[in-house]
Amino acid sequence: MDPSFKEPDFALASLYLYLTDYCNLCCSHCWISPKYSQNHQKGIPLASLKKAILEAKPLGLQSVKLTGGEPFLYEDISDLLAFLASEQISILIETNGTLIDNEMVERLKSCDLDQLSVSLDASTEAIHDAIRGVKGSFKNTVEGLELLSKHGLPFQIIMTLQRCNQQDIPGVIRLSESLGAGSLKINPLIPWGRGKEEIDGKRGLELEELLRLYRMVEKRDFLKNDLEVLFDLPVAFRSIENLKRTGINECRILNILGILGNGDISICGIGQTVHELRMGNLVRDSIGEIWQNSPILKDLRASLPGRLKGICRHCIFKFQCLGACRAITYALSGDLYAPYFFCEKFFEAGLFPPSRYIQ
Amino acid sequence: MNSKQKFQRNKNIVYREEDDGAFLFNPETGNLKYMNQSGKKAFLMLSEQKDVKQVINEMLGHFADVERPQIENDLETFLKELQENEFLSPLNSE
Repeated sequence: MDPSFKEPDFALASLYLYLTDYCNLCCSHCWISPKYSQNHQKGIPLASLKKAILEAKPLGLQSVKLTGGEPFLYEDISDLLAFLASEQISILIETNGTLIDNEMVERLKSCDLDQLSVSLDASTEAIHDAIRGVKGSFKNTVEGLELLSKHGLPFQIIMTLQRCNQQDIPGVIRLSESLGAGSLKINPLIPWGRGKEEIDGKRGLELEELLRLYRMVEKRDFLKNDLEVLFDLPVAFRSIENLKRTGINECRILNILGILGNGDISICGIGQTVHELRMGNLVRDSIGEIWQNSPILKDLRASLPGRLKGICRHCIFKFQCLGACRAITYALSGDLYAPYFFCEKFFEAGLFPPSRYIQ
Repeated sequence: MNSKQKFQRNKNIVYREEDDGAFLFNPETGNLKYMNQSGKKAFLMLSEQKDVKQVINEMLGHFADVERPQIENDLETFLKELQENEFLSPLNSE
């Protein structure tokens, strides 16, 4: 790294580690589309990963997100968790929960666990297993969640919303409450990878349906306790009361790097399928060098939010939202500064809140 | 907090009302503030150049169950934030 590079203008606050290209489920909506396997996988070389994490600490690293594929399929997951604990790096995990056992719970207890998000798409085995593509996944996920709950490890449940489970929101809320989840996050489908096939096959929801469900959830009628239900719409569609309660959740694109299962470095997991958003490889390149000199990162830093186009250019949240997900935007349009597909579609349909943009 | 102090709204900001509150947005700086109904009421009164004392008295009328010290504290915090984000500035008294 250039010795003159002392204090970066943009901290590398978090690394998103796509630990393995494999997953033990085969979810119909997955935008990463990993390969299927029930076996543990090698994934990112642990030694390179440790080196990168140590190199990223002086750049501002505070947390890592462990995702995949399925992160608990990563052969060295226990050693990695122990290393992160010893380095006092806080950890966020996105998992399907099927591989959480007593041993893993004990390991997690020793970590600085900021968030543990577990996917659960329905309150019934039939719908969840159909979405997840593997029989028995509902049972295994619920058992994993019960184990977390029993040991007092806080967790969030993530539900990806599509046509086949839209009626089950109250059911998933009740199940989340009974399992002791701290929050439930409801994600609309992402039109990339297998998610695109779902949307093309009309198994996603129409814009009006999403808004109707968001408003239904916002009434919080189903809630028996203080479960926080986060419906993941772009900030421009969320009520003031929702913003006051949950905050804006700013885009972190200017403060993260993604590391893929083969060690390639990208702006996030999108590099898996969009190769031009890869910036190097962990084994041969320096994280610091990439963070400092990558033309993609330099361009993003200089251009967000100023070069955003379409409705994003006019939105009053553009300085916080930064155009929602730039990775998916690029995948869909080939332009890092194109409007976010979701907001643009709403705008074209006359459904973008008029109080939320300026001409 | 000077009870006679009045304020003026920064001319460059965008004010947007909604059913459950309002937004303030400065297109030049990107500063954004979302306010609930009571914040909206207070901001509108301040924009009309009512002084601090008048705003407090009117807020007491709107929220009968809230004690004066609480409203004074809340208004002080609110005014500090609005000024820091350059949405409002003090009017110089003659």
